[in-house]
Amino acid sequence: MTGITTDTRVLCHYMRQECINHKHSYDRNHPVGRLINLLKLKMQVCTQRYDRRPYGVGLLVAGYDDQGPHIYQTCPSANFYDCKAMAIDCNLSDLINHGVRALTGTLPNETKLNNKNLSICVVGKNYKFHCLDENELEKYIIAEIVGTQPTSSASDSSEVGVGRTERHGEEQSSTLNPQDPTPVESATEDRRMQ
Amino acid sequence: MMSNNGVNFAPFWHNGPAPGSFYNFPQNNIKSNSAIDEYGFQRNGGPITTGTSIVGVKYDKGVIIAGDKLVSYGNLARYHNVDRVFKINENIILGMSGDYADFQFIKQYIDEIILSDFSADDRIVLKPKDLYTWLTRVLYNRRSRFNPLWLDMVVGGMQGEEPFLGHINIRGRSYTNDVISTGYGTHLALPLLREYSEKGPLNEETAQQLIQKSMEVLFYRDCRGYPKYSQANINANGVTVSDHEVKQNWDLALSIKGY
Repeated sequence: MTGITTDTRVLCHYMRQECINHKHSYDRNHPVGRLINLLKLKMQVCTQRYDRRPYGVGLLVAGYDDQGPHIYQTCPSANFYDCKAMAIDCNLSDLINHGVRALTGTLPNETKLNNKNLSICVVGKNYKFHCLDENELEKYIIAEIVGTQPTSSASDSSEVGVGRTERHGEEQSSTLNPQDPTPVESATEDRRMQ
Repeated sequence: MMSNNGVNFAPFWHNGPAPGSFYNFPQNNIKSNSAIDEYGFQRNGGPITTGTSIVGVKYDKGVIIAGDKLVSYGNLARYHNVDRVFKINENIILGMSGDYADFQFIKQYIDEIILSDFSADDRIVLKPKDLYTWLTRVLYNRRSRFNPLWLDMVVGGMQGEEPFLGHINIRGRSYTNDVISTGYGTHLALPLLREYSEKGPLNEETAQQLIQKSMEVLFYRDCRGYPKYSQANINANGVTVSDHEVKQNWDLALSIKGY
């Protein structure tokens, strides 16, 4: 989430409430798209009433249901975007490394990612929602620091990483492939070799 | 009802009159579980027009649910061309027994769910376990308010690849099994069904024969039974609802003295 944390609490509580009620009534997990529709309506109401203000929150909602993985981005304007990030033949650690690299790009110059300002959560097929703990985060942060050291192979690897997703962008929808994260060293090596 | 799309606006006032309906001034002796509504005091006193037993059998690739085509009005065999087995969607079939009016009431809500699935147009379809759980919650809730929907329902269908068969009773007690029966079927048909289903896995043909035999027994022995019955068969190929008739053999009657 980004934005007003107290507004986020309200929305998260609402989503949790809806999910648990749905689970109680239907004994199935709330389909992500339907939950987002409910959230959308809730957020839109306060953009139309004169006595309410919009929820000052931008959310990135990720989930997995029968229809596959989903990512939704939300705005205070109650516009919702169904996002796709495509990856083929990418294992979990590669995807996370890519995400961490994207995040470092958004940081101001002096700030570095550490396990206090970074959190990573994963959900997928046969993979319950799981937030990475400090040790696992360290692995990816170190990989990122190692990766940005100014060697030519490292810069090649970053291009290859981006190129891979762009090239295959149109073909398949994303699959979070939950293999165990390969040891950090071999993951960065693989990319350098290509 | 679902017509509000799940959004409820804050009411303008609380504990006051609702426009267009009777207003009961606050009294101290109204119990919270009483069934007072805008038409006065009403509570389900018992079933009026009723359907008798339903029989359901799960086989290796699907489910068959059958029930006769009679809705009785007490002792009177009042409506005898009524299907008590329904296709709900491509995954679900439902058989009802008990009060037919209560079923029509709940069927409206089920139809609404199916319709809203269709209009959401997001390829999410209701599965049999979902409907089964939902019905349990509704019936249990009504029973807890001492105002039951007088129904015994059998839900069957394809839960993904696997066949599913479950029973929900008037008090909101539900269970799943390979063979299910309601009403007199529990006494007359269920022992027969259990004997054959426990011998080994059934295929479609043996399941059909079992159903046929059960409906025969039920017609002969249940006084509210009827020889015509309808049957819904669901498997990976889809749903077929078909009409059948019990082959009646009354030769026995000739051997009865005084007949």
